[in-house]
Amino acid sequence: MVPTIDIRSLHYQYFEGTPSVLTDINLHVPSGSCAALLGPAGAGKTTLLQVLSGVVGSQFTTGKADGRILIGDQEFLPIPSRVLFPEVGYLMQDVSVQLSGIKETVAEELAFSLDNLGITGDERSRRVSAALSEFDLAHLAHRAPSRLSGGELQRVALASLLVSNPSLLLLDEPISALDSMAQQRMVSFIRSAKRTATVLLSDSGIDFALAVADLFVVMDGGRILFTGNRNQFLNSLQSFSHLLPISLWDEVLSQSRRMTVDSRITRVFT
Amino acid sequence: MRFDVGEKLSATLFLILLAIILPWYLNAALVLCLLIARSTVPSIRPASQVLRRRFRQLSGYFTIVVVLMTLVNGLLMEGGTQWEVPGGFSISRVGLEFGLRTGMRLLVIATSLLLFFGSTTIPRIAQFLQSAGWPVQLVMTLLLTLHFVETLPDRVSMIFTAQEARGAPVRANMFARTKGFFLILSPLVLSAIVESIDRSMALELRGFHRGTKLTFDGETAAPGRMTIVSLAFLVLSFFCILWIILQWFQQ
Amino acid sequence: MTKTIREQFQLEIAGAGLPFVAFCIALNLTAGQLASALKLPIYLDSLGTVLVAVLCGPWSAIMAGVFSNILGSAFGNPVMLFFSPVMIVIGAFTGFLAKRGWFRKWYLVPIGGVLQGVLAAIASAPIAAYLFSGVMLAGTDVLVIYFRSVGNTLLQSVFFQGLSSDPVDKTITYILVYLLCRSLPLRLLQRFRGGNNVPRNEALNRTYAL
Repeated sequence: MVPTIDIRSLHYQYFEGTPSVLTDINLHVPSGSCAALLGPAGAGKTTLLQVLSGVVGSQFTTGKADGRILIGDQEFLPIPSRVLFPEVGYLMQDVSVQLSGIKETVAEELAFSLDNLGITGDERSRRVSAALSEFDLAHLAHRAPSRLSGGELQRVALASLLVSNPSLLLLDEPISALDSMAQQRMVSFIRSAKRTATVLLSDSGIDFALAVADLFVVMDGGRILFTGNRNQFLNSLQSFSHLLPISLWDEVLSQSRRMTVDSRITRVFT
Repeated sequence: MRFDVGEKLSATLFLILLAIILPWYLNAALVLCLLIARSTVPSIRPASQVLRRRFRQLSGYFTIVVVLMTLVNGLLMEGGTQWEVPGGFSISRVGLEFGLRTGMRLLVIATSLLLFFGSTTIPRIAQFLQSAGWPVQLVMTLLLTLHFVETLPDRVSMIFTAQEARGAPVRANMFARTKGFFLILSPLVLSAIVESIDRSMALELRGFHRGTKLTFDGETAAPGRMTIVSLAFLVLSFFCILWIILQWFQQ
Repeated sequence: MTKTIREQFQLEIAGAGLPFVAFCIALNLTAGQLASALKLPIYLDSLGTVLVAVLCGPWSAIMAGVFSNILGSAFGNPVMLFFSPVMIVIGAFTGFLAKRGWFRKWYLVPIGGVLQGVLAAIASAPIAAYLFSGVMLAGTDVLVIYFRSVGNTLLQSVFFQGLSSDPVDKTITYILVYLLCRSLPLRLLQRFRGGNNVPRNEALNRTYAL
């Protein structure tokens, strides 16, 4: 089942007595949509993704949280205290640490999540083969992960994520280390992923988000400053010019019809 | 004749204990037998050219150590027949025998361990440990270490170059070089800590936890079972230990 | 309630502990090479073990030390395995000192290093004497030969040789670990079970807004 995400009045501090890293977060992400968390470094985007994945609740035993999170039909008061694997797939910002570091081939690396789930035999082989072909990795199946290029590493990291069929994808700055060709592939991937999963991604720019997102969430200082759809976001862009770098910023300002700019940006990515 | 990791491990243990018991001439013969076995038994043949070269280098090193050990003890110890040598020194029979006994024992131990580690990769050892019931975190740590051993030299080199470019005194006097050493170590450890935090999250996010079992080559490690060969070597090792204890009490 | 060794070990390597211990084992194997590259006359082959003992705890430090020797045997000198008891002593003793706050006070660190060095010399002497009879093709062999020539037994000679180098090496290791841990911000230290074993750098924590 593809879940909705509903966050109510979420506050989070890593340690009691320290400033909150997330303050009064309220967010609703519909099922099968893609929400983009936008904002500068330190805005709380990664923290929010990690809280939703359950890894914060699991590893930060000194953390203090308030609020409520609903993921599908699972309610957490206040935050998940265990990692929500395999329902949630999380792509780390640094994909080199995404891989286990202990497997000798790409195929074994993809199977790592399945081994942890206890999936063996034909089902294991089938899922690995499917992931290898979907991400054009079949020719790298027997290559050592340490000998992969940056783009290949990204594809292996994504494939390793999807092999366990998650229904919620959390992608932390997924295009930060990609060239433009790889970014195009990432756009196609997210558009097809929305059919079977809800996607929440973070980015410090807006170009990529404009190509894939249905819901735009602007964050700064651990707070949500804006939530809205594409049109609402574009109409409010001027308010966030100090937070969000945009390569076509001058173009955006000089255009009288924002819809024209929007379709131009979208065309670049399709 | 193929031996699994458990059999090789128990055989190595037996050989080490045997080396402690046997006189030096039998240990010398044992070394020759091991060298012959290395060439004839596939399971204990070094797995690659690099390992074969390493075997030769280390065998040479230990041979030199044994020769020096014998000479030094011959020169320093007194007792039994004494032979005069040029330079005003004398070599004693007792010293030579002591040196040979210690040296040949060391040579058997070193050769046994070289054969074991040369023919058994760390992942195979890790697989064996898991099947023998060791906690999965221990096995994971052993395997993850290989990753760091592979990447650490490049990381150190990068930091070394960066710090040198910043003017760190990595090539000056000893005090300055010590300071330079810290300037390399500090970012290395800091980046390792940050990576450890991210890596631990990534492992947990992919479902790894203390209850999981690692899979090797598509097969979950089979439950550990004792083979007849392992049992035989372990029984022999037990008798060796008893013999050593007996000898120690008699002295 | 007293926790079992297994439970304590699980707590020590929970979270970031496990990958960090793996890094420290690799550090044990390579720190000595880095020191040689900088032409520094120190071993530092227990730097990683001491780091783990301070930041994680004694049981994981023992594991780090033993694994270092196993891998050292596999990749380098095969008889390193027999010096595992020395690493066990280092891991256990450093963990004991760290828990009692010896790494929170700068003046206790060198004292701890000297004590550790003496213990390491005591632990390694019988092994070096029995296995190598004091000859290891190292510069320190000369010291052993000298001590034997003036009438000491083999065991005494190897012990005295160890006393001449281990306290210095371990003191330098302890000081390095203290300085390293002191430079870590609180948010990183708190990810380790032994994060409270080191002093908090208030200036650094202000910089990191904690």
